[in-house]
Amino acid sequence: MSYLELNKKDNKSNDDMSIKKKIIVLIIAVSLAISIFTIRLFYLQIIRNQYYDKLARNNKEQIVPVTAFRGEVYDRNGIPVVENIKTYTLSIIPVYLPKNYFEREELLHRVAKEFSLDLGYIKNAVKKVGNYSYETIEITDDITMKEISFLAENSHLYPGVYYGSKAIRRYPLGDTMTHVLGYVGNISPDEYEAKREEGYRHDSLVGKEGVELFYDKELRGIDGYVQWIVDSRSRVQQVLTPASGNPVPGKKLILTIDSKIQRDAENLLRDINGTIIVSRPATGEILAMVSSPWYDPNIFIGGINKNEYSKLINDPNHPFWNKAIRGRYAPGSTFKLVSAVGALHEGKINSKTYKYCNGGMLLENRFYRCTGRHGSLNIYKAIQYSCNTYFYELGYEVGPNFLKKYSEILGIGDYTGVDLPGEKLSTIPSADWKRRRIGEYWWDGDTIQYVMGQGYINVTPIALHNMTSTIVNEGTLYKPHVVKEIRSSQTDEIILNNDGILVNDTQIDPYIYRIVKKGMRLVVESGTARTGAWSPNLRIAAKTGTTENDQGRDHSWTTAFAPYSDGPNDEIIAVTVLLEHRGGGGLNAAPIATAMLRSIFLEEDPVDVRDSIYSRMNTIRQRGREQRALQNLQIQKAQEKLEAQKLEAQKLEAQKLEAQKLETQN
Amino acid sequence: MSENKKNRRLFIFDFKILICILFLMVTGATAIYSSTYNADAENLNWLFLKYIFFCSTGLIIMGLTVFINYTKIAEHKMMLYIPMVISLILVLLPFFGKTINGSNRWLFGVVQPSEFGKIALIVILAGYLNDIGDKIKSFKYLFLSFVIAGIPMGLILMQPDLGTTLVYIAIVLTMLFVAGAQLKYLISIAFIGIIGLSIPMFLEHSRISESVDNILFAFFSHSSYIAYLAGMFFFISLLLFIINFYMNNSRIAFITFIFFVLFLGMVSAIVLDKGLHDYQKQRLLVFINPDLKRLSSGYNIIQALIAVGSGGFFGKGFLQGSQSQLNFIPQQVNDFIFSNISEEWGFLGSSLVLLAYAIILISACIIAYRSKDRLGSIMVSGIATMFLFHIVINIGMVLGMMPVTGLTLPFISSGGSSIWTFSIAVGLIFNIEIRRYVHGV
Repeated sequence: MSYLELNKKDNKSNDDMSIKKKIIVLIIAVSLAISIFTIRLFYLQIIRNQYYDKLARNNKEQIVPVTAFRGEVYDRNGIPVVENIKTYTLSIIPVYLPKNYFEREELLHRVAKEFSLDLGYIKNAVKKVGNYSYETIEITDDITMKEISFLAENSHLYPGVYYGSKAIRRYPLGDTMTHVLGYVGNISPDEYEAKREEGYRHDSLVGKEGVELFYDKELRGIDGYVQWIVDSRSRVQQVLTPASGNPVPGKKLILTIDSKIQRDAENLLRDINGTIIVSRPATGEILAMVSSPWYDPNIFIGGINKNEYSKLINDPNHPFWNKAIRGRYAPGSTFKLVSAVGALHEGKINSKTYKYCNGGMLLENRFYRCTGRHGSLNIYKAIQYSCNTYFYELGYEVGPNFLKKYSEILGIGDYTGVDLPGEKLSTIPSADWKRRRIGEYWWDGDTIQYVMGQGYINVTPIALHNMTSTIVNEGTLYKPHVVKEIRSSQTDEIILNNDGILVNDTQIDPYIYRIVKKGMRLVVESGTARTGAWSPNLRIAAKTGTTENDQGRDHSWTTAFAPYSDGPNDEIIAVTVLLEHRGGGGLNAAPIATAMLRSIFLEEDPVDVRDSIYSRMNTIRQRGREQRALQNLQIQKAQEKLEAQKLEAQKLEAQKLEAQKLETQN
Repeated sequence: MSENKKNRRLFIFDFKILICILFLMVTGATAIYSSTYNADAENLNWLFLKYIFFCSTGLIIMGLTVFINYTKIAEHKMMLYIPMVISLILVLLPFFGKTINGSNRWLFGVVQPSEFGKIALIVILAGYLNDIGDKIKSFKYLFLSFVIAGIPMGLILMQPDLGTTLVYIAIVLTMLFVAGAQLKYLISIAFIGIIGLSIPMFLEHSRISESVDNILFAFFSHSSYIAYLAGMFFFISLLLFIINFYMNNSRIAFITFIFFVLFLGMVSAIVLDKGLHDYQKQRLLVFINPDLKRLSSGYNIIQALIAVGSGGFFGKGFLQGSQSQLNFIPQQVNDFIFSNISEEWGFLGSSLVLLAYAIILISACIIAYRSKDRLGSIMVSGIATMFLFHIVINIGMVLGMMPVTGLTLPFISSGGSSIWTFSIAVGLIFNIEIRRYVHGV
């Protein structure tokens, strides 16, 4: 291996010297190593001290969130409508689980087996937030006291697994006020992303609908936390509860809803698709709001079954929709009140302006029919009989922009601002709107439709109810609301009162409203709702509406109030009823509105009232039919008599002729 | 020289080293007391008492070592070599050796022959290198010294104990370097080691991080392909060697040498890939990338770093370190004892410990420099390397700069064999120092 023995020149150097040189290399290596370590120590301990200090604190301190008490909800009479009930929960904080992969798997296995849970579900839940997350993941809310005591005794065997108690929402009255109350559910990933800054956690419960959603911030309070000092095996060494960690309970809501009126309204709408809004226009309080069909919010307790949920969500009648605020329907004849108020205010007509109804109006080669031949009528009678011809002519005179302007003045045009989530905006068309939306010019025929509350116009029931409220208040409108007061849970101190928030003042002479109200009273006395709104002991005023639509039978509207009086009155209660596909407004919606008002003021049973009105209506109809039959019979008899007389006369004539003949012969 | 004078000379040794060792022992005692402290336990702290026992006996052993002339020990090196090899073989046998954490390190469950073997190897190799003198420059004697060192090293690798084997390699390479072996060979050996380690490391890393869809992994994961590569390199070097036999060109000789080194590197890659356990590969990997989360060893490094970093300048105080007291640091009394010192005594305490080690090592180097003979110089530099390697690996591991290996921190870690080994080592240093001017004692 001669090639490996190269460079023998070095061998001649002084051996002793070379050893000493190499020892100096060793000294340099030693100094270098020690200096590098000193620098590294300096870097770690002095420069990055804060960072590592925080990590060390994270290691030993576990922050366990404490969910704040969610505020309860009461109706206006103090009856609890949303309560909390206590259950025991089992949860996991992934970062405190064993770090070793196998130990962690083994632990999760043990948990699943011990508490009879689904291992896959637990693993997925952990995976969702990641193994290093400090989030508390609730894996079940249904464990027994016995299991809790077992876990408490053996907590060192279950690092990262905790038990706790939790309040679950319960709706003690069952399936009532569903759309007003809403329900709560686990926060969805999107909601969490949007709200994490506001202190929402991964496992927070959030309101999903109704006041639970709208007042979520008030109801949820502020979550607190407990601080634990633990060792590496997550055994708790010390519990610290700093003052700042105390949860602040959520606030209490007092609804404007009266649970009895609400229940009555719901009974009236059972098996009928539609909505009822009952309110006190003087303050804007909504006493009842029903959207039919509805559901029982208690089904969401402990997580709703998927099939049940999809059945509800796919129901063509939309049980999850609050039709009172998100359903949009053509207002029909009820919209005539808008043009009446507008025309009276601007002096286009006055109470003595007469128009002649000849059964319709001819416009652009088309004959727009009326419901009958009303002859000469003024505004009172036009409202009373809902005369189309009168309003055709009026609408033709004022035009679409006028109608839009007065819709907005009367509170239909904008969001009503009701304190419920998901309110839709009514569609109030104008010439401009049509050009933009449909891309066509406005025809006079459109105006004729418009003034009738048909065509492009669509309103939400709550917006139409605003119109009635404005008329009742003679020009002022208070914000409709379902939450009367927000109170502190601890001290019962009133934090917010929603009553009487003025949102609109129309600046229109009350005299004009009185004309319209008088017209509405006449509707009940002897107009379109004379049988439908039959109430001998209560002075009800109303306007009915019937809306044609593409989907099926007509929608029926009635917007009513009682007791009728000339001036504004704090006692007045307004009711708006919309029934989907039920036919004529005066015949179907008016009895329901009347039953509602009569049950409130006269404490009659609303269903009985409704049924009695229906049966009376039938009787009247029957009697009318009989009368007509009788008349026909009489006419027939008279004719027969006449014929008989004629025959006799002819006979007489013939006899006479014969006698004459005889005479002449003789 | 009179008898009296001779005895007086015996006590002229470096007191700095002794003071530093006493300081380290006190620090170690507090650290072990702190890391085994348990407020609830009423019984005696056995580990602490054991440490005190080994320290005091270690000091006695250190004193005894001073009295035996190191030249005499080196002359009878075969008397050390044979018992060392026998005990290392015995430890591998199931009856004599005790298996702890998957490796047979303890003879009869108490003694670690591999610890004492370090001293034995230093003495034996120093004696051998002293005997052969300048002949170490030839490849034959270099190879022979590798054979002498390689037998115990192979036995230790079989235990398996990677850390200690690495200490042996460091000691042997440094001693050969000091004795005058050619750098070319030493660098080649280091190069072979690096190739041999990096291929198994790469394979293991790919497996853990599940990035197995690349051509490199596909190639190297078959050891037969590596063997083909090795054969190719060997063939090329053989060819070049034959060509050079006629041409005798130094440049071709150099290329031949490089291909031969590559061949040996490939061979060592195959050997290490088969020979190393998965946990050993993973430890080395975690050093490269501590965020390999599936490995619990990464957790140890992070926890140790947190302990050190959270210490600050003055530390958290005795028994106040949360990382140590709440047992976030595993293996505290042995491998990670320095993290306890850093956390509770801060930058101040840990840099004092580093200073003490620096004083010991530099004093030892100065002793090697001033030694009266070649034997003493080589022996002390071997001992200094052993110290340095232990310190660098152990503290480097705590500071996140070195892979996790079970190497102790001299005089601070609680292992009895380790304390005695380092005591003997320091005794040898004193032994060499005091005999600078004395002959025949």
